[in-house]
Amino acid sequence: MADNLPAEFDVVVVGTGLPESIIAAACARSGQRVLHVDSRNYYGGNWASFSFSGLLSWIKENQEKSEISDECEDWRKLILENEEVISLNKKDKTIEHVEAFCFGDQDSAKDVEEAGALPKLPVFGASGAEGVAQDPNKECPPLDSAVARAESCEAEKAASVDTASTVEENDTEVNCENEGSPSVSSSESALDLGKAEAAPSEVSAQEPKKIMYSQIVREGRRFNIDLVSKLLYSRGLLIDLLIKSNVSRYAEFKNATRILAFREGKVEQVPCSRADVFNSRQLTMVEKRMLMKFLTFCLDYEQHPDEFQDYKNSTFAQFLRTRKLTPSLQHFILHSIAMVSETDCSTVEGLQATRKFLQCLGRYGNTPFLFPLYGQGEIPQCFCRMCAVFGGIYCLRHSVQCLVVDKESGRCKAIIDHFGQRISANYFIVEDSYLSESVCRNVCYRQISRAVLITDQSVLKTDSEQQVSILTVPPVDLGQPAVCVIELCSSTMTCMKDTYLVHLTCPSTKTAREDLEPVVQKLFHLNTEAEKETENEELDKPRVLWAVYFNMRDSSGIDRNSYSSLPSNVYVCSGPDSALGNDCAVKQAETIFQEMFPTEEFCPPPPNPEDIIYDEDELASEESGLSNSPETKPEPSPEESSSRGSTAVNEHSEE
Amino acid sequence: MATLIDKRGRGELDAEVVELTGAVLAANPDVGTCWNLRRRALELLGGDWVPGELAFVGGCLGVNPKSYGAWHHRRWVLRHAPPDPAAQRAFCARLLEADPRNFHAWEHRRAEAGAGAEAELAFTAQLLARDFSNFSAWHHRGRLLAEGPLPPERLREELELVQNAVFTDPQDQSAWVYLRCLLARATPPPRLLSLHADLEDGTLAAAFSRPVVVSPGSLEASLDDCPLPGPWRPADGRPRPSCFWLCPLPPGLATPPARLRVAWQRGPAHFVTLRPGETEAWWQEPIEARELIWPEVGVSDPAVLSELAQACRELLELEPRSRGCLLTLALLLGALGPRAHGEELRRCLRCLQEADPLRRGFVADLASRAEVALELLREGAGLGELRLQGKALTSLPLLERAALAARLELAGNELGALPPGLGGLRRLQVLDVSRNRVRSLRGLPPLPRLEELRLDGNPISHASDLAPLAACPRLARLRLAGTPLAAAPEAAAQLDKLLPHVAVTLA
Repeated sequence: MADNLPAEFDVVVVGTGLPESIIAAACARSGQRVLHVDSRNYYGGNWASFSFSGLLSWIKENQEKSEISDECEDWRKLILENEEVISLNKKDKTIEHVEAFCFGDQDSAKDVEEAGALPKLPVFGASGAEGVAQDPNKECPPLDSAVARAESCEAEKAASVDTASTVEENDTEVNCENEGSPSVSSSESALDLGKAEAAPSEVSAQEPKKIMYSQIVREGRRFNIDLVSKLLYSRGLLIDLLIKSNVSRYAEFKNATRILAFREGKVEQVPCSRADVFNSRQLTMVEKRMLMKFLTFCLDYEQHPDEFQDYKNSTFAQFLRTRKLTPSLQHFILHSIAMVSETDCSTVEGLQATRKFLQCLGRYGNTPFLFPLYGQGEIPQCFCRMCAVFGGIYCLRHSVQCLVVDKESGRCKAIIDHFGQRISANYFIVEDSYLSESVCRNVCYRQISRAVLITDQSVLKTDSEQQVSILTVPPVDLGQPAVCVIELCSSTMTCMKDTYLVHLTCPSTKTAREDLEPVVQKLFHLNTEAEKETENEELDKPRVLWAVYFNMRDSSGIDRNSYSSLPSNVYVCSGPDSALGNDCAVKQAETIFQEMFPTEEFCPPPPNPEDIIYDEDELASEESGLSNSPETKPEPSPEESSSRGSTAVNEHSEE
Repeated sequence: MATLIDKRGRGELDAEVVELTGAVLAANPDVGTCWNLRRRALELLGGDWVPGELAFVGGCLGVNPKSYGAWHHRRWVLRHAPPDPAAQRAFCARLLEADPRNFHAWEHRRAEAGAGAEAELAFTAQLLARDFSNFSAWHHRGRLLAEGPLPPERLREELELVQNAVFTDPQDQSAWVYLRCLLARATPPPRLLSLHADLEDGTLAAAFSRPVVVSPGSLEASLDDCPLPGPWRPADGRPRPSCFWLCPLPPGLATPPARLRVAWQRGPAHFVTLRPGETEAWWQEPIEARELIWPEVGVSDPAVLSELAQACRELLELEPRSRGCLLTLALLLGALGPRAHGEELRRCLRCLQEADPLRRGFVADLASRAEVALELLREGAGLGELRLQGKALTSLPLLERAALAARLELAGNELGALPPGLGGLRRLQVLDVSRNRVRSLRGLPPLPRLEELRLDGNPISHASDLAPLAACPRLARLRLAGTPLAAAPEAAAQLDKLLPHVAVTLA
């Protein structure tokens, strides 16, 4: 396989996170020859989404802190005398403190297989090439997930043996973690186990809400669990880019349906659009007016400087207190609409944030946010697909040993991959996590605390079960970060029926569990058995069926100069940031692209496939080229293969 | 298209016409000729073309959802089909989903596809929840509520809904209009307000609460049980509904006492008795304060109105310039009784005038109405005189309530003309219109008892503009000081010729 890769490209992109994928798409679109590699076996890096079993594997991988001692130094001989080497990381160190908990009957899941699961992928670094060659399908499961989804009901017999062992292994792992958990004792799980064994199907038929762990495992492919939890502002940069570049056709979106607030121990819906305010039953008439009046003012606050001039030096929270708003309205605006800190957000910043929220309202619905169906992990893949359509070459599970730098010019000339192949290029995009400690020794990273829960009910039950909600939980102690909670329903295609997938995110102060568990305890019911004792009030809360906490490195906003001895033609992309939107990644991608190709347009709309006239010969040669290395490219859909390689195609329209 | 015209000329209305019109209309559903041809062809064609045709029109409405031709055609097709309200409802709902303000779809829904009133109310509520700036949805809702005053429960629900809307966005007029419609659901039927019998010019005058047309038999009048032959004519002399109607008394009625009986459309009878030695007699209903400013209001419970007024005041505190709110509050105060809220009413209207410069005239007329109403309600006013000097009046409403006034002080206002309704004021003796903007008296009906008319300071420039005064038999004094006419050299001579018996003051 390695021999099939051309030895020369224009741009080599290492890492398939969102900014890298956007850059790859932009470069391919502007006619560059792009090689896009990722050492992982899935797309997206820390932006990826996983099925349940996929996430369990990911957890396992990140809990094993063993170093891979693959000290094969064969590639050294490829380095010329006037060249030096910048080694890249072989092990991702961006995820820490992974702690998974299962509440209840996980033992019953021991022999349960995930329906339609693909065999577990060989651990990276093992005989990867053969594995790929044998089964090209499994190389990029997320991208192919559409196919997999279609057939997910039918278990693949060949695959199931492997999967079972995977689950078993993971269970033991999870059990170990559970010893530290106060909520699960062995007797309890035994009790649940008995129930589940008696008639698991009947239980689910009678009480559809009661979901067993075994069901989660069996329906694992219904889950698309995001590592980063983000929403798209409907007038954010990412939406603009998706539309402009026509990448939007690869994805489907669902509007977030409601904005929630957590106030005085209760979850409430925040009326934020005009229709919401009109329909709200919790606001008095006067409150409605005051809220609308304030929001209208925020929309064009710059036109009324006299209204906030005197408060320029105070915080937004102080400013709100002067605006004749009731405490509940102040809470809604501060935490759920502006979503800013109570203590250190200035009036103008708060007004800006509020305006951004309001401007996004109504474009696609009554909330400002969109969520991509099948998870946030779809978005980088969409851009990869765009890149592939324009001739980009993809290699997953393809790690890069080092960057080769010309001593004289100080420019990077090539990479050497794990097969020892030397691939030269003009530009190199590397995701932060691939950079070795020596390069990053002066970089100070922040951390993001994340939690993912699978729950059985919504935090705020309404007539409709299918709600996509975003909830901001303000900190207990002033100055701490607020926790952003996004609850997804099954119609977002991220979790199985009758469950909800809840993402919690905040900038870290401690480990993820320390940061987030207090919020989880406020909103959810953790102990399955305690409900008999505590009865009513606790019953209102949704139960957590399964949970994982982890810290993720936040490499955003790092000055390029903090990385030591980086060649000028190597650009660093950061991992996900802790903000709700994706503007940071898009901005970074555009900036890097413009630095590399100042004269090229960034992701212009692709030509209409109908307007392309194919040159017979070129088409034929392209096709043959394709058949030579099918495993290096993502499976194109028929429609794409027709327009594939259009860089080599005469792009004049018919008229 | 040329082929079509050809075929029409040859009278060939066959399947090809249907096909050709289909092609044209699918591209542009607004070609009326094609729809007509298509209809004629279809009628001749026979067979069951209804379902196909419905689908076709549906497609055309997809191209232009507001095509009159296409909607008309749909109606026509439906006349040939068994009614299926559910399908029609679904169709309208689909179009309204795309454009909740598509008035064709609403109209169609009303005509062809009405579900039960409750279901329809729920449907409108659903669309309003999405966006309440929707006149059509409010209108549909208003139409669904039965005529007349609403049951208190329903009224409360509706008021809450509409108040939600106005508090959410007071700038949106649709909710305010609905709110006012909700309250103004029971205009009282016209009735007799006053009667005046005058032996001098032998006329019986009747004033009504609203303009009416008196057709033979609708207004029964009899003198000592002997029916008056009539005919009734409008006092302003114009053939249209009027508040004032006159009927000649039989000549030779010189022997009082005489008793006149008048009844409007079999309503209660009112009596006027002429006593010996008197030349006139009258009857008048006491003034109904609630009817003066907003007579249409159908809500009889003052508590509901006060509550609403209070809500408006709260809203005004937050939004002092909301015109919908100001207007509604003014009307509410009027309905609650102008006297008790006189000052607030005036303040309200002043704010409204500033807040809504585009409707300055409308507001000025409303303010005039309020001023006249307040004057009518003043103790002792009405019968004797109305003092309305310097009230910035732009119009002179409510004259029917002042039918018996003898003196009308209108100096220093902004009246541009004297309303023809003045002809109904049969007892008017002194009329002071000094310092107004009256240019001409054309159209003024004869005023039988007018003795003095002051027109000082009005922009009257020609003697001919005063011609109607020649028909006022008792006119003795006319003041024209400060008018352009007074400055004209030949004015005195002209006036002497026009009004030989009138003492004209020109300076």
